[in-house]
Amino acid sequence: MELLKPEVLEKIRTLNLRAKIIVKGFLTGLHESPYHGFSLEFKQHRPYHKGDPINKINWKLYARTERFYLKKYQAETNLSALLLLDKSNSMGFGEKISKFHYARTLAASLAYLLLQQNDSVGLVLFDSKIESFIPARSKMNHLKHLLGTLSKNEPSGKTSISDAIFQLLPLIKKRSLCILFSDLLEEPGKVIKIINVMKAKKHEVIVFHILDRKELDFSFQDESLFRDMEDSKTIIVDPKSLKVLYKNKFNQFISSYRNGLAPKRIDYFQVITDIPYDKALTEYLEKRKRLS
Amino acid sequence: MSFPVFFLLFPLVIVPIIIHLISRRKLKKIDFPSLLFIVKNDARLIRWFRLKRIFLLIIRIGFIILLILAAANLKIPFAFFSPLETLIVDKSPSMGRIEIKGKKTLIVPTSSGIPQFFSYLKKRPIGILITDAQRNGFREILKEGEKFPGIRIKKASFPEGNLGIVGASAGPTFEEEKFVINFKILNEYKEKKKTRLILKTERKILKEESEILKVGENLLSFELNLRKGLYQLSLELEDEKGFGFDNKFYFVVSVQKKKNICILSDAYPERLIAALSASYFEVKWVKETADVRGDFFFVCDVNEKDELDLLRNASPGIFCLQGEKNTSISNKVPDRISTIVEGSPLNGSLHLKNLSEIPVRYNCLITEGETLMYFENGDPFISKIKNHLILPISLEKNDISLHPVFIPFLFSLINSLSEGTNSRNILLDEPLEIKSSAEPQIISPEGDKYKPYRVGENNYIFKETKECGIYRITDGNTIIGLAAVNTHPSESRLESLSDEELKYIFGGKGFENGAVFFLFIALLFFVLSLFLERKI
Repeated sequence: MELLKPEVLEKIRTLNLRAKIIVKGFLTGLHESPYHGFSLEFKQHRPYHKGDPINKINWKLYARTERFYLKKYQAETNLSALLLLDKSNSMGFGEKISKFHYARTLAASLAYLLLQQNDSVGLVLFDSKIESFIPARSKMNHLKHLLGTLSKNEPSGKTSISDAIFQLLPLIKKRSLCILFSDLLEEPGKVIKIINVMKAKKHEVIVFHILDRKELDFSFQDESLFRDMEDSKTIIVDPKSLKVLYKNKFNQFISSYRNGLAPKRIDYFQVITDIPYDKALTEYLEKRKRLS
Repeated sequence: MSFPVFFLLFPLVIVPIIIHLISRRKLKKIDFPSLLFIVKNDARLIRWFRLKRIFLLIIRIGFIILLILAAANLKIPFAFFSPLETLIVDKSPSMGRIEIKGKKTLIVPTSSGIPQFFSYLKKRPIGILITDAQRNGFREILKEGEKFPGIRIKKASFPEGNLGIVGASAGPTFEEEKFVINFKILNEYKEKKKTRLILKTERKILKEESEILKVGENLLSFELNLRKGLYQLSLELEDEKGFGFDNKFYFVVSVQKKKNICILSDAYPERLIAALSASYFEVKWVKETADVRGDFFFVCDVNEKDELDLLRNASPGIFCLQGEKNTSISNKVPDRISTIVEGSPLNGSLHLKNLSEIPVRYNCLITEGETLMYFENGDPFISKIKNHLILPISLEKNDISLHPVFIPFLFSLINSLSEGTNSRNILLDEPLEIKSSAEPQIISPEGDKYKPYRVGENNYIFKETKECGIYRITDGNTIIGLAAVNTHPSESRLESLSDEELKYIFGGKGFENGAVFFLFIALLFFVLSLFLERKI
């Protein structure tokens, strides 16, 4: 479990390896194969070519025809997942690990896991508009593309989840599982409204509300010059005197999301960047089981 | 006492300003995503934070200023917690009787009724002084230019006016001769005052009359004719609004048998005869030593040894020496001029005011006898051998005989050698000298009995003259003397120090030491700054 702590994993340079470690570690701890319930379907035979693996040869057909044929299967892709990652400036907040880096690693891990299960995975990076859109694919080599896009991007721009999703909706052709990674720092009503629209279009939505511990408990000590990460407004704040007021307002903010999303059976998971990734993955798995 | 040198630390107030500016510059910058929860809704709080920083700066500056003020012990115009403060009370007669309870109180000692502020305040420079600020008690302080900034004055008020008997004097008092007693009465009202005066002895009223007293000093004379004896007189007046202590004045008179005085002189002693005749003495001039007779004699210009044989004469007398080189009691010295030291502690009867104003020329040095008075340079002025007084001057030829003090001086010399010298008129606290062969006893006006200190053969001193009235001196059985004790004349005056003088001496009326006060306020500032910084 120690190995799955975000700050430890952050030291591993490549996102690919990080995702693998998370998923393997997560699966080892789970003692239950996530492959259960997923099967492969035969599509056709094709002639053997030099270099093809011998163990894929259909020996029964060889016995009948004395020719080497390989079985070709079509993966049973029953899920199309779309990872929506908020890359706005506010996601750059965090001391040991930023919310964006945490969300990125989590998204990469999920992508790896989904692709391992032959689900198709797409990726959307957005701030107030869509910055990158990668349609869902189920090939394992699609992972490279996904991870490459994730690695290249750093937090920038202003948040507008509603605008970005509004822009995204026409692009999603297939009923999908939309997994949103964001700090949701926008008017909750607007965000809930657009998520409800997604839901109305038969998409399943999971919201990972990515938060830093300091956002929750406002545990700053000294009077400091606070600068808004998106509009660069500055203000001198005495955290001790504002702490209670802030926490009240922030809890109201979270509650409004919880209460706003629950009636439409939209799953909302609050993820704090100091908790291990596997917990977040567990949340996902539970959801996935329910879907399957 | 204030320490203005600490004001040099005032530039330190710049320290919190610098810290304020630096801390503002070095303010930790935090990029924060959820600022909308603060910015949108808490504009009032943000204004408060800005104000708070300014408050903190002001409080820190104030804290330093208060510490400096406390160190400088600056004065404040009101009382604050001051446990070391002592209540000092002027208990002179003009203050009447003051009852102070519950606070550490010290009573200022008085001499002749005049409070001794100078030495007393020097020992206790911090406290509250309750006084009417009558000028007489502060003369020494004003003269020395001393200041007592640690003393706060609570000024007691004077009455609106006062009638007071402040002095008395009598001419020669001889049996079968009328004599006059003069009383000095002070009218400190702003207008003439009518009062009733009663002069009486211990047993009967001698005179009773109404008098209108003009503003200022009044001299009232009473002509009396009394038999030989010792009389304790008192003069009373009515004055309900003024001080009470000076409404009665005590006076002792010793009426003696009229004396015959013989003057031995080669030339006619014109000045001596004129002076002594004016004092109701029977005066006779002789040229020969053998002719000297009478109750008392003067020997003028002694320059022969046979004249000194009179020293063996039983009757008392005064020798004025010319200073022959080889006489047994004097040495010839070149002409010397010196003034006389007033007041010899061992001979109160020779205490003559104004005698020191006259420079006296003399040309012999008396080498024998007990010296009763001195010149300022230390040479003897009056010496005593048995019942004779020896002077190194010619009373006839010296300038002293032209001075107004001459007649009282002669009278004083004669009295000092006469019987009944234990009768005295003195001031409060003034020591009373007693001559007695037996151990005397003093009975105070209240009836308390005291024993005086012995200071020499047949000489005693009593120092406890603490109340006005008649002190009786007895040898156990009979009264051998009387002493009338009164307050000092200046105590009857309604003359207080001006506000400027009080301010000069005490650094401003009603101002207190502010060290504790400023420390207290500084502590409050400190706590307030901690509160603003949310450290408590």
